[in-house]
Amino acid sequence: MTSRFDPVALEIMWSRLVNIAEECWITIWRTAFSTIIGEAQDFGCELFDADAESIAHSPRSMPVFNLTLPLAVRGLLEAFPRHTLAPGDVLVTNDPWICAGHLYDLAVVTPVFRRGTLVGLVGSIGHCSDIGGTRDSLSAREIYDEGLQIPPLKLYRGGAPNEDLMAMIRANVRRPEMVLGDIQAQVSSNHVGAARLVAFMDEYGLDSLAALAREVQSRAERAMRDAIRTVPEGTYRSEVGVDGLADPLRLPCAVTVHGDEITVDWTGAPPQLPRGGVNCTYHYTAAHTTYVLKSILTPEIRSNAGCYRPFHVIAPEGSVLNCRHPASVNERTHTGWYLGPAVFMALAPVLPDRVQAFTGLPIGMGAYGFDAAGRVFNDHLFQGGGQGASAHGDGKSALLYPTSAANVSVEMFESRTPLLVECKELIPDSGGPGRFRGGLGQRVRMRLVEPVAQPVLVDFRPHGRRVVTPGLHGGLPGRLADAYLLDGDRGAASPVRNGGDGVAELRTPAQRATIEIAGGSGYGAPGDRPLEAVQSDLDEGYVTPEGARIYGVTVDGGRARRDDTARGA
Amino acid sequence: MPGRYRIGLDIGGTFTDLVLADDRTGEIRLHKVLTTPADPADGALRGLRALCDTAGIRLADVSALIHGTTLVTNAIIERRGARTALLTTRGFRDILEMGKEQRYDIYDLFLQYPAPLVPRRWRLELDERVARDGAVVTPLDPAEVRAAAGRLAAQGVEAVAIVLLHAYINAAHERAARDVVREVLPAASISISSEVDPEIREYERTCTTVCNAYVQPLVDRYVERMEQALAAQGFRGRFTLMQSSGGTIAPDAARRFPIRLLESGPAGGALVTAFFGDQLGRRDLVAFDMGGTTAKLCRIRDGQPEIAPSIEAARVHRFKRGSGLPVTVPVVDMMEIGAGGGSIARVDALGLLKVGPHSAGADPGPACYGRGGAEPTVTDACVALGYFDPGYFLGGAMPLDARAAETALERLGAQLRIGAVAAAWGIHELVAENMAAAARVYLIERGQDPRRFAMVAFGGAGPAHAARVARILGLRDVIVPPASGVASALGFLVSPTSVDLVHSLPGLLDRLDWAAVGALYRRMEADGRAMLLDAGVPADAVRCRRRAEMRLAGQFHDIEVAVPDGELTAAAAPGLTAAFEAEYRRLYRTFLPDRPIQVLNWRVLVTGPRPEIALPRADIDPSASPGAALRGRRRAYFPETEGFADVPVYDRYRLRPGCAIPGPAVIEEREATTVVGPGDTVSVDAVSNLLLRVGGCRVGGGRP
Repeated sequence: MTSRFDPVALEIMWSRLVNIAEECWITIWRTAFSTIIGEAQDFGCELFDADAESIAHSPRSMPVFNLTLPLAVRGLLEAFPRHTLAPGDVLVTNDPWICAGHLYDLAVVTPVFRRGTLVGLVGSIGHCSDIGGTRDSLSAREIYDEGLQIPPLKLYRGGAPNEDLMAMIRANVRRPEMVLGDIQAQVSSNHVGAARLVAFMDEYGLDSLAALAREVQSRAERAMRDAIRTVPEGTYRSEVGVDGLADPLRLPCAVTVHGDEITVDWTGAPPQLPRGGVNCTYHYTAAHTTYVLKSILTPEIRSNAGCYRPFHVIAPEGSVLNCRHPASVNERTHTGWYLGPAVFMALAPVLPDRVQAFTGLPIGMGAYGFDAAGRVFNDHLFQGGGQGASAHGDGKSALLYPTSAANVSVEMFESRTPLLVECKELIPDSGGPGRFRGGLGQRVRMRLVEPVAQPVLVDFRPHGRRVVTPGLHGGLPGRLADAYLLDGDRGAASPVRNGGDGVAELRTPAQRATIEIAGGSGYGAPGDRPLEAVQSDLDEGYVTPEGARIYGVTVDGGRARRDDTARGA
Repeated sequence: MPGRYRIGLDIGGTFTDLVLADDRTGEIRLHKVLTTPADPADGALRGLRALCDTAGIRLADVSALIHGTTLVTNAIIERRGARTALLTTRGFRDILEMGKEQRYDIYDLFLQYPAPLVPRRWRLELDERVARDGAVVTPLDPAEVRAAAGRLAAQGVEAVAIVLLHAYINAAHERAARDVVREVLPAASISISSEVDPEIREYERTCTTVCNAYVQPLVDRYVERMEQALAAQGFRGRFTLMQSSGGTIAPDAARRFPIRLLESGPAGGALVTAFFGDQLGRRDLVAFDMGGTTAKLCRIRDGQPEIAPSIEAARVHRFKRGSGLPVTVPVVDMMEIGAGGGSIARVDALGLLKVGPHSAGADPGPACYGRGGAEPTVTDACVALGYFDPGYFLGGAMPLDARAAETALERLGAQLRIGAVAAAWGIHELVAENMAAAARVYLIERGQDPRRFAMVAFGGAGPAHAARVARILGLRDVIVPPASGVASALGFLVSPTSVDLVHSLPGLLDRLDWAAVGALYRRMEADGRAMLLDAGVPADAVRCRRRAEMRLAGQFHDIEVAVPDGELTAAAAPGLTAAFEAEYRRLYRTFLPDRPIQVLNWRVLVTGPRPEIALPRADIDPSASPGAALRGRRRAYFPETEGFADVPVYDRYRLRPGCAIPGPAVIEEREATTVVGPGDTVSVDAVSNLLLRVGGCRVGGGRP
């Protein structure tokens, strides 16, 4: 089949589509009201053809939203078939089984009409700052505890806001003006994208996006199939542990490469859990599984639906990776963020230089309450763990993965809350040892600046407090995460370990909530790390003299020297 | 005004450009020498002597020397700065290394980040704390500072950055710490964040302050050497340095805040754009400077270069946002993309044509340079399409090998299953498209509609590509000014004395203390006037322009709105509300009418008149014919002419003001070639600008 698009025109039009998505992204970023969207950038924007197949997303979009939004669009179109849609309509849902796996993630989708015909859709998913329900996610038993469920609905009908729905949201969330303001940012973004998409079609005289969409999708698909064919055929297995609730869980992973397709099978995943929100919906599982494959196989290709056609994801129904309604799902990252590392681990033997060891998982510490003057606040402080090492080098210390978020300025966070951050610092020896060392994790501690009448709630549940994730090719795990509360005078206080409770309640400045984020795992045997690299780590304090022993060195007067007995000592 | 001569001096990576202006006759004289990287002052001084000699004047006759340099930006890129330490609040020494913790490419697992300019062992913490409202939570202990400074002294540290949390609201701890460090380390350069960058957000402030400290000893030595050498040669005029913002700064201030010199060259480009636009009565412009490796774009709004609050220095990936070091200094708002004459074309994994960002540079350079470059570049495409005359490149100083260009293009075309000409057109079209796409995002990110602007094109490759970029963006007018080869240095000479004052006085628009706002403006404008009067600007020539940064309460980003002149009262509120809403709707297409509008910062730009440079001017002769300037004709390719057409080639230096040329045509000068497409027309104005009007061509039109 010969294409009607020559290589130059296609490149130009493809870039234009990505640009439109980028303009959508900028609109949300510039008009958001919450720290989680305006500062931490926990959202993504995407364009779709009339068949709801993805054509382009913003380069800065949250990866998992790029993959769950297409499914959400399909779900919305099932509820509102095309012939029921009119210009000015805006659709919305946060159904975790349709959208991105928990109620906070809100899809806002606008059908794009040109000369009365639906030519495509523009949409975004944003993590709203609040969705009602309990702030203590680990106590939730069902989705009903987790907040307001918004089934597929029209947020706007023919340009007029659905005031009933707005009122319903306003009545159910904390700081409603912030939540509704962010939703409006998503609506604005769609308007901008729709106008730009129509202008683009006018300029090129396109009556339909179908041919162009098919072309970019099939090119991306072909590139992916070509990349898969370079991977030796076979089934590659791994197993990762996750903290779970009372007991840790194991997630077995089987990656089968056959011809130009890959199937990832999570059969053997444990049954869904009755509380705590650590269950993944299938959409969420599929998104994390395939995102990592895309990063391994065709990182340089602009992403669209075509990239993902050669992938198949199997997850047993009723398991933590494919839970049934009305399971609780709010904390699904505690399970889903381990799927990528499991795939890396499985493929490490055959693709040693294209995988990455486990990265310490980030946390967005939501802080909610009323200050001493009675003013409500609800803001998030984001931070990442140590990046996993790879054949290409050491991991970066403090990196937000697998999200695309940015951290939040401590000063900005403090200016919006009555909290004071006592430290935000790297943790020595937290990077997993290896020929290439994992990045260091970090410690964040916060307290109130003044006593408050009602306890302030701070999210207090880092990922990976109990289960270690080994490194690759002989690399060792990084330090585990932790959460603890210090109460009493500085220096005298002993930690109260209640990280498992999920939420810290702060009443007085004497209580200090501490989160420690895990380090990244190492790559290659620690004994193979060059002495100069160990010495440099010692000089900079990334590794202590005690911590250096695992590398087979002893330290004397600050100088490292090889000592094969050091490791055993 | 003393003296009649002024000199603009721009030290770039390859060339040092000099422009001498005679303020009595309005004449300008240009000079170019090679930069001497080991000691840039050496080449600059030699150039100054040569320029004065050819003009028959002495350096003592020069009343002003305005100097721009890449010293600062190169020192950071090449890591040639001082041994720098950081003193910061207990618990926060790793902020500098953590950065934003953000991945700037979501599919690249192996991203690289710039190493911090201060190694961890030289980042020391102090037991002190200031809260968000400026209240002292933990007092600073001078003894602790003294001990820390002692440790740094033992390490041979040359520069110290002091960055304490919330110092933008209470600088007392930073100042006290500086006093102690100065006692212990009297020879070290010390930078404190409350002076360098007094703004909220600790990472950006730390990074900026560290960058300032890092380059301070280098700039200090350099400026001192220049001042001494100039004095030794009899220079008695005013010596100033160009800042990234387009304003000049005295040597003493430059030595304290050297980071403000980061982008002085591009600032000159923006200033010269404003100058040429002003002469034509165009107040909203895009400067389009396309050279060998990159293209730079910046905005002139209402006759002034647009100033951004920050820029990224020393990116690991030059064109990837987020891969560099954020520096918060006022900087001419610009965008740089990897599209220049040397940008290499290739076929990617999907079989699509890509151009740039990799460049063949000057060596080996494009295939047509005949220096061994085998890959086709943007310049090769211009040769193959008949836009560039291989015999008249750089005025004939450098003959090009057209055959080599064609061979390279044939090879590329074979991979795409198209001919060499189609490949060349593809490159030409795609590079324009890349620049336009980047420009559009750049403008829209700043809330601007590209169609309002006129473009001023310069740089070696700018005039060849400008019209096509303009057409994609929907711009109607392109100006190709004369003397574009030394644009930045020329820009230094047309920089009006100006000061941009800003004061934070946050409040909700419907509940503002207007008396306080009025008093604030009276004070800021009086301060600004006083500064300009000091600089010799006549009182009646001072202009003030007010703006306010506004947002819906609770948002993180602002929109700038013009504030009326004169006495401010509550009666101004409805107008400001309406202006804000209109701008908001224009940008974001919706509005939240029930939300309170917050004003954060009040700004006033106080400017004097632009120094006059009288470019050689001739009378417009409407009956002038381009015939006399016709060099000949050659075959040039345009899709609109369905292939190669016989087009006239003109000598720019012989085109007379008033003459008009319909496209297609090619206009040649020594440093550049202007391509006029079918449907475009070009005319020559009284100061020899080429005014190009973009015709109604179809975008993405026919193809070979």
